[in-house]
Amino acid sequence: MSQDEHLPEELNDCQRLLASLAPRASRIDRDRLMIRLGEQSAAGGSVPWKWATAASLMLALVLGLRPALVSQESATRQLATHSSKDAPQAYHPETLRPEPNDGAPPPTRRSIDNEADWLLAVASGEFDPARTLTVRPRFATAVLASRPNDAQVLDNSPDPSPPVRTPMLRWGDRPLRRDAADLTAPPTS
Amino acid sequence: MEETVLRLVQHVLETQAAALELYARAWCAMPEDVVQNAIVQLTQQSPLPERPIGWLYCAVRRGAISAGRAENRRKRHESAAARPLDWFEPAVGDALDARVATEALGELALDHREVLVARLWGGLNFSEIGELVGCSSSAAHRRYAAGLAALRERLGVTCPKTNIFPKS
Repeated sequence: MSQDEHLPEELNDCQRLLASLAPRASRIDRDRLMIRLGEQSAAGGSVPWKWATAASLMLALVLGLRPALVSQESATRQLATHSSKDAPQAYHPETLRPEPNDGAPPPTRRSIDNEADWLLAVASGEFDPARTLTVRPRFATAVLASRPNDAQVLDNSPDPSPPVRTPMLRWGDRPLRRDAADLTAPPTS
Repeated sequence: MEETVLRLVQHVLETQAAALELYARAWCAMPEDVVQNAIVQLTQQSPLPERPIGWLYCAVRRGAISAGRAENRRKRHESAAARPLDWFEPAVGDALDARVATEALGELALDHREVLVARLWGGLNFSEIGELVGCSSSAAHRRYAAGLAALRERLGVTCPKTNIFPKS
């Protein structure tokens, strides 16, 4: 302390005299202080564990729910995506019935409401699966059967996909499945 | 808690707690709570300050000023009644009387008093005191000298020619 040396002699002595006085003993309760420090340390130390636990739980939850989410949501979205991507050639009722011949009776729409009919239609060349919507046939026919207006539009419109696509985008395939159960006849064979 | 921090707390309690309480008494009547809070705050610092003692004095100063304001808002007369009579241990031998020294120090201007306490009993150097009170080290030294002179006048000290603490 070079600055201390510049003090006048009388102040220097006074300084030594004052320094000889000891401040009153501290009244800090050491036990209380140590308990408080322990509490602080415990509270501070538990924070990383909380974060780690929360992160692990979230990860487990996500991994556990993922298969269920993928099986339902992605199937529905895939359906909607396909219907919108292939909209112009999504569902052509013409492919479900033979071309009209001269003198032949007017074609009637044929309902394919089970897998066997579907396979037969494909095998006989009556139906081209490459040009159709990737929807199980009974769903498509269920839509046509349950919505007469839509069916009429399909008959008159060159692009019949929007009436079919719209409910699919809105509700997925669940309502179609319900409609199919209600409105289509059960497979006979 | 780390071993280093515990050792630091132990060191502070043994060497600085009394001086810190004396320092805090400039502003508040319950200095032990302020010092305890400051020590707890010190242990929460990560990393620890380079000069923990200087840091503690800063924290005690802030806490004591804040506590003093709160006390003033509550009951001034209670604070005065709670103030201990002596700030120093009873003197032995030719040393100054503790009560007289307490009164003289209490009457000293605050800016002189805090520099005196930090230097004499806290052991801070003048650059640390300058940082603490917000002035240069030269200004801190001037305040210190002025405070000593004022105290000497109040105490009526006639320093003996033969020092009771001879220089070795």
